[in-house]
Amino acid sequence: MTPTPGSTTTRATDEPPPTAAPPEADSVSSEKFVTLTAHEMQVPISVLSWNMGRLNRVLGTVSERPDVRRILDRLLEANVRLTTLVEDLLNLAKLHEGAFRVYLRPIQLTEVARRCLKTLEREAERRGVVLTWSWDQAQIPLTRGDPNRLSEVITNLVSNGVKYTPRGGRVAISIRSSSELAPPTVPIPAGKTRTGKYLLVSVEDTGMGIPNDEQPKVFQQFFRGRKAFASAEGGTGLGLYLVRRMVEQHGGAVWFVSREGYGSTFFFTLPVAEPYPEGAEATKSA
Amino acid sequence: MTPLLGAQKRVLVVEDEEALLSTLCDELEESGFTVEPAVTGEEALRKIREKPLDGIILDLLLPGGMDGLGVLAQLKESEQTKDIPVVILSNIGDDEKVREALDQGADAYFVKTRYSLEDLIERLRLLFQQKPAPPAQRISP
Repeated sequence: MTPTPGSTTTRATDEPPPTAAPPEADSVSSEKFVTLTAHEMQVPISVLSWNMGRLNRVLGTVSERPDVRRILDRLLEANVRLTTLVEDLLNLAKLHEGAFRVYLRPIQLTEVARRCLKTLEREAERRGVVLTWSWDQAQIPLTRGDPNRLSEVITNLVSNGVKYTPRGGRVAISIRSSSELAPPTVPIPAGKTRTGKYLLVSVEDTGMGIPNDEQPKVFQQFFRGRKAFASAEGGTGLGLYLVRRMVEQHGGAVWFVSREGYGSTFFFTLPVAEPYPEGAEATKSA
Repeated sequence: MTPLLGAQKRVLVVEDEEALLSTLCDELEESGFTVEPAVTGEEALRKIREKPLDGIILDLLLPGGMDGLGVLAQLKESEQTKDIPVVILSNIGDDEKVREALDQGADAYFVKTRYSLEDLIERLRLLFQQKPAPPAQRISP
């Protein structure tokens, strides 16, 4: 992708310098506390989520009052945010423990994307944002991926697009084959070859865009831009950091182009799966 | 919610969190299942021996001496129960744990926070209808 005039391309490798000092005992116990709390929060989240779904169906059939609809929408949205927050915290804890792993197997990425987009469609509609996607199924080979992690990657990128795009705007997702890990303007890790067989996923929005001075920090832990802070949207600044880690663990690359006031396009690539040897057994998946 | 077709299916739900257990049981009953609840691994095994079942929904972390994988192992060791469809429903989303459960013979693995109840029930309905339980599954205590 050639960056548009005025836009800049940023790769996902910018990190704050590592600290040499070992973590203090207090910070270790704080991390442990956060992990335990996040684990425990999953139970009440499931109770809330499942019962809100039930309430939504029950009230949806007996009440046509718009205020009831609005209340339910707010509850459902808050629950989605809470779920995402807890998942991010658990993922971050695993990264810090060195226990964050991906289990790669041949998968059809379009199926993962379709499930994510189906879930996000309602939120986009509620916000007045048009969500579109396009791919030629016949041209999309299998990729080696972990469907749970890739679902988190796609959900994160698309929900960011929806959140930061004003009413009347659009978010477009595409998946296609590519012969390069990343375009020449994006540096790649040493030892990696730029050419090969990849899938290229793009998530393009017509949102607020990212100011030039903030672009190098976008994939850092806990970074949130000035506009994100100023907006009514919540967030921890962990989402894009986790996206980067997950994509890199798949052997892919992630980057973006953005122009303030016009929107952003995030890209990521994943290696195409080698065909299974004849007679090989497919891995059972959840 | 799509009602069940054909004979009512009897499902055992093994879950120690009361609020989750009652929510799940309510929804399953409204969808046409006959539901047996259990809160420990030991209670689950006792109920499995008592009545024939068409499916089991099994949490992994359970109080007492036996966790969900322990229950699964016992089920799969017995000729009478090894073919009852088992769905793991857990908050543990680690792929390692998913793989372990599937390798031990679970038919599916769902992470609670990743599924709406409606979606979950629909998947269970399809799974339990697709895989009929064996005719003789009662086992001696």
